[in-house]
Amino acid sequence: MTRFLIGRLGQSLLLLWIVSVVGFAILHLAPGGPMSQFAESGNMTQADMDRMAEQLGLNRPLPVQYAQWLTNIVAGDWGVSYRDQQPVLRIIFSHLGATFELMLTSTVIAIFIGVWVGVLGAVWRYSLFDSVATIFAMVALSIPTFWFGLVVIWYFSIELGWLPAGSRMTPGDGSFANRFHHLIGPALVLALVSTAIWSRYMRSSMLDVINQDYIRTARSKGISEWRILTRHALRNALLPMITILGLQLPNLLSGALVTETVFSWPGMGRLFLDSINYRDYPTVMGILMFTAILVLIGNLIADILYGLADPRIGGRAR
Amino acid sequence: MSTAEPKPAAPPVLQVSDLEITFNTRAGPVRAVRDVNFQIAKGETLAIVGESGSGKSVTSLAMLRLLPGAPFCKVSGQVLLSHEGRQTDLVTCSADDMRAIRGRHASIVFQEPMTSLNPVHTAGTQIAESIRRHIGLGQRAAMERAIELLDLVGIPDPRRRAASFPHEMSGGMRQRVMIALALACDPSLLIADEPTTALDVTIQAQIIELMKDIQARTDLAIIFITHNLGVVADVADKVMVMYAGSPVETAPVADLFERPLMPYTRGLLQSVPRITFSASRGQPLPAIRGTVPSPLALPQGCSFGPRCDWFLSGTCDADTPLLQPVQRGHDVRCHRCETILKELAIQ
Amino acid sequence: MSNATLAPAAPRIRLFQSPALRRFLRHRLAVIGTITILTMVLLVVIGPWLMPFEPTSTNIRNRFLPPFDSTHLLGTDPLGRDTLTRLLHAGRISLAVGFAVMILSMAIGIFVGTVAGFYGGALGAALMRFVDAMLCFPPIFLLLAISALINPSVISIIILISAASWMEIARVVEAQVRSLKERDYTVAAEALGARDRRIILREILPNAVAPIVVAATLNVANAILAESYISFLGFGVQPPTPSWGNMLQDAQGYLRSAPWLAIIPGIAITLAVTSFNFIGDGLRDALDPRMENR
Ligand SMILES: Nc1ncnc2c1ncn2[C@@H]1O[C@H](COP(=O)(O)OP(=O)(O)OP(=O)(O)O)[C@@H](O)[C@H]1O
Ligand SMILES: [Mg+2]
Repeated sequence: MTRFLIGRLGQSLLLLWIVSVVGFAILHLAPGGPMSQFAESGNMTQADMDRMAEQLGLNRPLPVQYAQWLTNIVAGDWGVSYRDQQPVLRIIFSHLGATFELMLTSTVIAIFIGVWVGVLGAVWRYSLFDSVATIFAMVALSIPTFWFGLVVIWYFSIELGWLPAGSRMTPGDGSFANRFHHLIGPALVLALVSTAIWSRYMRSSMLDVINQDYIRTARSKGISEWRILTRHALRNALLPMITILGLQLPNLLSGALVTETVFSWPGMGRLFLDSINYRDYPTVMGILMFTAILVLIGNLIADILYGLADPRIGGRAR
Repeated sequence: MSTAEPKPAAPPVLQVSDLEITFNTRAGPVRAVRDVNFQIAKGETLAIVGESGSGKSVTSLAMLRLLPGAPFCKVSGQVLLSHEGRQTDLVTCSADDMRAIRGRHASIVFQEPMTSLNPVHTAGTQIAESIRRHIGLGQRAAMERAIELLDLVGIPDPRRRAASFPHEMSGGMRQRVMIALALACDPSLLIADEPTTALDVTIQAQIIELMKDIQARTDLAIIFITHNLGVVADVADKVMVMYAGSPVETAPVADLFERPLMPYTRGLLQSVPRITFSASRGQPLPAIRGTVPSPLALPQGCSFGPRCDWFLSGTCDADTPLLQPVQRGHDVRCHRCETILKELAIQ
Repeated sequence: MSNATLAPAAPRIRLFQSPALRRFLRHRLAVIGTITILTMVLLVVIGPWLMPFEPTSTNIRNRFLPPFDSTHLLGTDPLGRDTLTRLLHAGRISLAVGFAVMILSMAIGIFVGTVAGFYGGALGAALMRFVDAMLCFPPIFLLLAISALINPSVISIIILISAASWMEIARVVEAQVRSLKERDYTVAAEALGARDRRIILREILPNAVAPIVVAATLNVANAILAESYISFLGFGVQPPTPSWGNMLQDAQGYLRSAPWLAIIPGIAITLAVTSFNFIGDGLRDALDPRMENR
């Protein structure tokens, strides 16, 4: 287990380094680079801009700049937002809670529904339920999240008036009920795609498992089908899902960005989009790096959890 | 295992009549097994032998209704199991009755010890689960019983092993766990589907000794499926030889080895100096020319006809021979067995 | 006799005579998807010529007409432009972006995947770690960050989306090439001294066609989605050029008064993407019979 952990940690660090190079390259190799915002703002002369570049160290050789940038990143100095002059990292953290709240809720919904739809689809393979679930999942995977959000707002907020049309709470009312009411719409919208993904993966994982010899052994013991499903099949079928949880993180974050935009949800995705609109590059680049790191950490945690959950990897062996 | 003393006239533990198994495949229905008839009494061991694909595993799975369900597979015939003074037909009984019997009165040990145990549960838990289901012991007591069973099947340090996961054990040890699992509720019938094929020779011998030992103590009826004629001679009271999905000869073990009548059995036994016969399908046995026919395209008449040295055209390819008694307890499915008997008498 | 004729012929997948086509046609959803896509392509190609309106011609008196109006079948938008006309023109852009991205990201993905899989070693490892790193970035974040740095146009959008979506194909190709490389016929060709390029083009890639085709189909679906996302967020195809995504951007503000403006383009996107996903599913079953039972 320790060896497995160290190996996995090493891999993640290597990836992290490549991610940093890519992030830096995006920032600098795009036409205009970090200076383009000033050019576009239009009220600066070339001389002003040269001076600015000098100050920001932008006229030094790229490797030197990269080294400086990386040192700063590692030291927690992610730059200062142009927009509100606050440290980027602090701004990101102040928006993280809302995003996590949304992602977590929708993941719980998606896992709960997706797992059961997948399991039943596998158990009742080729049944009407299975076909309908398959078609639903394929369509759900193809619906643009933002459009689904608009439809939900139109129908449930405007037509029926059941749900608020956006934001995290009614100003001045931070009660749990109020927050929950606001959370329902965006969480369901974000859960749609994940639910479809979970049901697909779960179905195929479950199909693998229920054809295994040990399921036949369980059956030969005379225990009930329900117990075979829950005690013997589900546990094994869920194991690979832990990895899926990590692998889906980039898509989940992307979905969160769009959902937050549609529902005016004050999370990291909204912040990202606002920062882009404001040409607030330090924040944009900060969030981009931050999400990549989040994905890396998420995958690392997923692998560790997998190691702990699967007795063949964790435990005393090895 | 064979005991000379006469057995009391209790009903047989298991009585199988006209068992037939059909798979619905893409290529159409495949009758994988048919005309299976046998019975087995307390303390008796029936060995089923036959080449790969002859339907041994399918037969054993069908007896406990462990084959895939209705649209994929159809089982007909009668499988009467005696338990607690009653007889239940395992082909037609309700799913609940079936579950109450599985693992309690009839259990099975599979061919593949490496994959037959659940990787995420400990050996002890998996045994205890069966005990709790059928005997209604509590968690603690069931685990104690599981540890006793692990001891019984000769696993050293059973208390520690009960807490081990399958991947921490060798193949032989896993098969012992499987046997412990099968014996957990003191069944009257044990089906062992090639329990030793996947193991190496010394372990094989140990497992077989173990089963003989347990049978001597508990009067268990055992159906022992194997490729290995040496093992048959060692463990069996009766032998059933299967070819292309149906039994072609059943006889007490001594009779079969001394006086095999069906040409297929004779071929098998001629290859015996090497004891194990060819395990892979499609590979001809050394003493028998040709290959096993596909269950999709069985020859007309006797399914062994095209490979048989005694083949008589007009007889053997006309209609399917029936399994008929030739001597006491010795049944043969062959049109020519009278002739064969006579020639044997001359020799 | 030349060396080439000595090399054992690699088994190829013949799309048009094989059981693969039959299996594909048996996949009902895939057939429906194919028909839908063909119809959509036909509509967006010839449809705009048949329409009496221009996608950009405004009409202040006919604003916000609801669908099923006598002259405007799908109604009009806040500027009185005909929704159906715009939908067809937008479809041209959106579908074209989808196909173009597929071609471009296939080119990148196949190149990177082949080089990494065929040569392996440090080069292969480095390339594949780069792929892993790229996949750490959430796609929409990556797309938006880059598109914020450049001036969006249809061409730059295509390049951008391709740059963010070639990695999956590279992975598929790398895995295929690595396993195919060890097979007998490539070893034989290698033993006969065939050159790398020849082995790759003649022996390896033709055998990796099945998973590449499937990945490419799903790539079109994802590209159409990606275009709609970034156009919706305002960093993709820029008005007045209509795309399905930016039609929705306009519509967001009129959810209350003219919900159809939001509903119609979304249905078009969903229909196109679902169809490609169905086709991909059907192709997977058709080209890889082992998967058929899944
Ligand atoms: N699920 C199934 N669908 C269709 N045919 C099957 C299925 N399972 C088994 N068969 C067929 O039933 C026949 C008997 O198979 P079985 O596994 O019983 O052979 P066996 O005698 O146990 O062989 P082995 O010695 O290799 O274990 C084979 O011809 C096989 O093709
Ligand atoms: Mg078998």
